[in-house]
Amino acid sequence: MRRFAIPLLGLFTALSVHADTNEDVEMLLALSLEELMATKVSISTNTKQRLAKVPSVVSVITAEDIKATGATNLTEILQSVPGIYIRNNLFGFRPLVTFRGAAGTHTLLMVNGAPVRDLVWSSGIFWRGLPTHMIDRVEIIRGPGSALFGSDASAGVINIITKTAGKIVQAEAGVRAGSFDTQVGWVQQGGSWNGFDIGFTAELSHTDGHNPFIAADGQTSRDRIFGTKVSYAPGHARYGWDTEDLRFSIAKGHWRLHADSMRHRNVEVGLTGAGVLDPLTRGNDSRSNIDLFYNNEEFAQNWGLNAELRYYHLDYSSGDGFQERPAGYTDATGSYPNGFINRMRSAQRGFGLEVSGLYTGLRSHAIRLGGGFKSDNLYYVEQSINLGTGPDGTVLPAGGPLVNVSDTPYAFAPEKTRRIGYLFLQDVWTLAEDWELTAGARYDHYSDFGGALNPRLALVWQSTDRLVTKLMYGQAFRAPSYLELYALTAATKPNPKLDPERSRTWDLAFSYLVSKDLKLGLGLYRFAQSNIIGADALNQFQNIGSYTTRGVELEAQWQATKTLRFAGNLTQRQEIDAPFNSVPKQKAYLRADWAFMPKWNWNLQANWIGKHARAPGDARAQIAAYTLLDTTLRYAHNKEWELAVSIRNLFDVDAREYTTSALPNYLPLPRRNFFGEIRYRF
Amino acid sequence: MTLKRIFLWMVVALALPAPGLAADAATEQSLRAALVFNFIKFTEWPPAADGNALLRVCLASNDPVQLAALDALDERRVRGIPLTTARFRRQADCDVIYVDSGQRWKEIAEKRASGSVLTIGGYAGFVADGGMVEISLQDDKARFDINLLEAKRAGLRFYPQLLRLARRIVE
Repeated sequence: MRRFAIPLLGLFTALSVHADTNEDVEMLLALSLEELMATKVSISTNTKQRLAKVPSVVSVITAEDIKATGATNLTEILQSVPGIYIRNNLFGFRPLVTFRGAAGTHTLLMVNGAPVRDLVWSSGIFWRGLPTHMIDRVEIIRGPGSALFGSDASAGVINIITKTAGKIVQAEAGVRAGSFDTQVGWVQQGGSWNGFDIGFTAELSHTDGHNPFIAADGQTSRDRIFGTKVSYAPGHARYGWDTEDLRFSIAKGHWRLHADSMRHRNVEVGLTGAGVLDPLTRGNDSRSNIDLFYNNEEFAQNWGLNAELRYYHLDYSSGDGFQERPAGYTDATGSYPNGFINRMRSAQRGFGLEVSGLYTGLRSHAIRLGGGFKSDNLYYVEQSINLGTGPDGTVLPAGGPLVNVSDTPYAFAPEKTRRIGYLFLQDVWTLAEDWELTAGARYDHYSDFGGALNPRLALVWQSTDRLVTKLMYGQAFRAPSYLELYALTAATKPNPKLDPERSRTWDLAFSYLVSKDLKLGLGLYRFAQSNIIGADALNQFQNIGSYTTRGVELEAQWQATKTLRFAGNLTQRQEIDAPFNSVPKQKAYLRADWAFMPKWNWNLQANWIGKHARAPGDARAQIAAYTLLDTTLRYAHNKEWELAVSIRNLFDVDAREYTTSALPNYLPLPRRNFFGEIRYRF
Repeated sequence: MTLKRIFLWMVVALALPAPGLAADAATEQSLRAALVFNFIKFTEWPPAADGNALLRVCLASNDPVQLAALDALDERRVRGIPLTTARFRRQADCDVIYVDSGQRWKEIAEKRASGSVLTIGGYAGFVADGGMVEISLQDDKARFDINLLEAKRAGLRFYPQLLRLARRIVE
């Protein structure tokens, strides 16, 4: 088993953990041999993930990286990963994490192995990234992962591992304040109690949001046609929100229990999906997870055993209702004095059980086989509207009251349960000392649309002591969402006969250690999606689209001197067969860390984003390439006190996110802003 | 939510009874690197012509995380003698060899010449394969076994501090 775990991590993991490892060793060298013998070894509890990441193109972000770059939200640091582009959605300024030009729905996002997705929209409702203080590390697979993780893992997989029992060795408290009336406080504490390791993290925050100025919105053009003057534009899109993130964990021996809760309150959506300013909505959502893990690497001779039992609950509310259109809105049916109001609530819960075994009794083979069962239940859907189709199927009259359409076919989704059963098998075969072949497949059966089989193959060759070469092929899928299968909305008609979206990916990756101080990585890929779900001419969802792209991802890390370190990467993509796609085809990242005096670290990072393509016939000016620069200065006074100040978008660049033509001037990103923080360890 | 409320929350959270701090946990690679350093510290090499100006640690491992951890020992000093770390090429360049696979060790052992080289293995069965110090993990803690016979054959002497803590000594 141990032997098995060793060759797994690619060179890139080493890049990221290098600084961390040095610090770790430094600490241990101060201990006596007796103390070393009493030190506990922290081993990744999820071998499945260790397995998964190695015969793949992987990146790892550590808590140290997050701290040095001053990232206050997960999505800020994800932007630095090659192949990833964060698309900020106009509705709630939600960060959609996209890989290699694919839609955000083709990214599988997990927190400690639990998917963030929801049944209806897939994007996790008001999911707005995660606060960074409770993140231990982020593991990223650039490429397919369905052969291990099932649905959504087409273009990439992100697993966020939080600080939990056994990993939190010191209590810490901190506060941060900055631009946009942002205030954050956090604590973490860990230790042992009656033979149990326990861990606790909490983070509370408030922000008013960057509230970009919107000169003209989706209502402005209608005002011109109907001779009305009801748009809130020119005005600001308000993006404030509050968050509470609480995580508790307890572990003993082979057992581990996590209980997490995350709430968003007073979520201002800013703009509706149609690009109409909505300054009134205060939404909220909450998500809780309870997970029990059992992990025994020596369960029986030649057998390791992993089991997990998970439960979650997710609910959300639009508050008094989304103001889809402002007061005085007029259409062909007449005028709406209160505007178009759409009040939505829903709740979802589910559980899952997975058991897998790792068999190492065959020479040169490590075979993992397992299976699981999941049940996701959208058990509560409530919707009231004053525009559209009423409960009896007739069109609602203009200017009428809110009408409850819950429990009718006209509600935004049906109350319905989806059951998933799956089996997987994977063999890591050491062909020769320097050659390792990974072959695996997973079969998923969904109660609502049928099955999906996803194989993968990876050949890893330790070409020389300095060079690792990997060739990989994988298939993946995305299950259709409830929106696509069942929900009749103003814009789209559902189709219960949809097939899952499919993808096939080829990856060729090289990791080269030029010297102890210089490491390079090169990745080439071809990513082809088929059966992509889109609306046809009658606005009904069909499996109609395809998307093929190829690209290059280049990485380098250089320890120039003992105190100066550079890291950077370059992403270039070329579309072969693709419908319109606004994700920039080029991006680059450069980072410098300089410990110019003991106790001090200065970080400078630059994100260069290439130009956004425009849809055919789009007359707006193109969004040109731009560079965002951030700088963070950190000072560790002693073991207890640490201070940091950070300036984001240092040169106050007016960067914009591509949106539909409803927003003529696109969506402005935050301008120059800053924060200061102080933390205390005890 | 205001700062005041956040502050209140923190006060409540911090007021929870503080459990005793657990022993610091470490990754297995870092722990192995620290153990290797201690093994070198508690080993005495026979006097050499160059006066033992340098202790050269050769690494035979394909695990980049392990290599990074062991590289952290580079330029550290043991009784005033600086260590250097490098990938294993040939035995003649080494005073210490760290190896973490049986197959790799077999290749090294086949070409082995006599000499005062401390051999440390990170895989199960290293001592049985003729290695000197074998690191293993048991119940999330590190353990090590010593092959005293091999050490004596190479003219190396282990300090009692080291022998006292070994789980098993082969004589």
